[in-house]
Amino acid sequence: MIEASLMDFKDKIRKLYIPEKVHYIGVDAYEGEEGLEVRYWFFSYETRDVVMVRVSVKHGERVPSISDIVKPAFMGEWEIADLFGIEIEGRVENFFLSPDSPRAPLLNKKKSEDQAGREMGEK
Amino acid sequence: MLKMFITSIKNLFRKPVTQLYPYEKYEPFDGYRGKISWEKGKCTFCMKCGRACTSGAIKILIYSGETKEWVWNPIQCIYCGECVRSCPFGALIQEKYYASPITKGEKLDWSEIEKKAGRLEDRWRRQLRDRRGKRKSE
Amino acid sequence: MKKIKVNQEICTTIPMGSQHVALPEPVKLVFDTENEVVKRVSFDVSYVHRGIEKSLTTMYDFKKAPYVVGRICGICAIAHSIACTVALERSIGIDGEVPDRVRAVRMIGLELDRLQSHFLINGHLAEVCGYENIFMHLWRCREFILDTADMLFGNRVQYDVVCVGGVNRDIDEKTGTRISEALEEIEESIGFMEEVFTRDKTLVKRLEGLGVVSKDKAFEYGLVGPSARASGVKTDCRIEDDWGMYRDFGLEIITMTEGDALARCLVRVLECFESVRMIREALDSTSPGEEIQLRVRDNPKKDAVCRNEAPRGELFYYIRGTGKKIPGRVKIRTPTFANIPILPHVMIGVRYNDVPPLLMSFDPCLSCTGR
Repeated sequence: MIEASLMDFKDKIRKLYIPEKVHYIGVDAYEGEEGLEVRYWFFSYETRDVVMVRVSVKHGERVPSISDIVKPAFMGEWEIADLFGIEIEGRVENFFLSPDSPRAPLLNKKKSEDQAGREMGEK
Repeated sequence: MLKMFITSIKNLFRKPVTQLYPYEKYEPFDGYRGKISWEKGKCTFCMKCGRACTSGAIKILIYSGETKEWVWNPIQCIYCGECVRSCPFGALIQEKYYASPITKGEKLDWSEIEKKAGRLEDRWRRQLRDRRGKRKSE
Repeated sequence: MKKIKVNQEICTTIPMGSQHVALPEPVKLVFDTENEVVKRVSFDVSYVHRGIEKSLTTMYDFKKAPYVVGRICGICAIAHSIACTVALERSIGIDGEVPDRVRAVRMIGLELDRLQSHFLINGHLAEVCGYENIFMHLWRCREFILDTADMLFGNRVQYDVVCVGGVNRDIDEKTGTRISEALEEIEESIGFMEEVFTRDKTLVKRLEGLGVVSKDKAFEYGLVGPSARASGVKTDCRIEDDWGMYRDFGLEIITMTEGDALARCLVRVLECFESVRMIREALDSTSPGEEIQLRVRDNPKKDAVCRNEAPRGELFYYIRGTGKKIPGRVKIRTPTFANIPILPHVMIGVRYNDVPPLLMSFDPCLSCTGR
């Protein structure tokens, strides 16, 4: 696992990612008690290990896209931009969600628009 | 290409793989995931099946007095069989045949049942909590 | 259809989807074409998001999760269930204790699933090419595989056989012998499929040289599964992240170097032979009657990942255990999600009537992608 900040995570990924040796798996976000974080997953063909690059992000902060280093990364970035409401450079609106769906459904909102869904869960 | 031609000619005269359903009865294999049947005598209404159910298709209703009822919603059920495995008394059996289609009159008012059963579950949880609290205080 | 100007050239915009005869599931692709040649592609996958990741972190406890994720995809259901279960077991810390019989039954399920999925997509590809005869015949052969699955697990496609700590039902000896008989028939039909895709002029001419992905491109875009292996990338998650006994059985990774649509088909066909071999090995390796389910007492407490080889490629599960019954986050990266980014690059310069076979040769599963 590699810890990184918003300033230097692109450099770290550039150092890590060699297309023939490292496979890009995906990008994921997680909202914990400490706040929002973006994780980039890689798989190394040589050591057969899954490597995670963790970047902590504040709400509303702009995250640069890594698709200039890792070409297929744009899809995963647009996905977390839709699901978590993270501002990512070059994103396309409503790529993953339909236009009339609730915004950022995977954030832990306190009794807001996804209240209905949670009440169903409690049943 | 010639072989494909021969195969298609052969296929013209071969028996169909699928069954002509309404005229030919479908006999499922042993262990087919069919409907769930409930045996009243063995059931102790422990609610284990209800908690194990993935889709929430099993509810237990308790009416005034001691009449209890086990309700199963065949439309909501995903037929995974988790309830059958969770039952410690063997009161539930997964049959070989699938549930027959539901007509309008037979359809359960599931939201009403869920509401009723939800109240019962709340009461049951409260009782459990009280009992645990008592045990701790002792 | 409307005409727009792209780089001073007059282009015709042709939308394909969200409903189209060549597409089994909803996706929208918009092509800008110039005299039938595709110049630009844009796509939209926002049709089938069902919020399964959200429901796993709010509604269902972890023991129900394998059944829930099985509903993500209608074709590779057991691949999802297995990946989720293995990740959960790693999170709980019992993945080392899982008995061999359980691994064998899971392997049989996954390989049967792979067989029927490969038959399905190759048949569908033939149909999209306009060769309906092979479509019908391959689906006829697929019927035997589905019957075998029905006999084993009680359902044709949605097996629901995997649960945390084991499997639900064992394969008894009588069924085992019947499967061995069925496998011979299946192998025969795979032989037929191989002959069709190597020798039939109509299909070979249509698919040869279509949508070539070079090895460098495949690495660069992170292709997974048969699409990557057709370009010569030696990757298979069954070997790399072995939850079963694939390494013991010596699974062979099938690769080709051409990287065109035909190679992608042929890789799938040859994989079917491997799958049959794996099922035979798994049936012989253990005997019925062993313990098939562990008692699970703990809740998921660690972070765990699982990479599983679904019929379409690498399936990635990440589970964040919080010590509670409900995991904190479940991340699902499906194989099609990794195969979509290359599509616009492959499709540029292709004639529009070649687009459906090219798209189908990547074996897209959009319900997986949407989740």
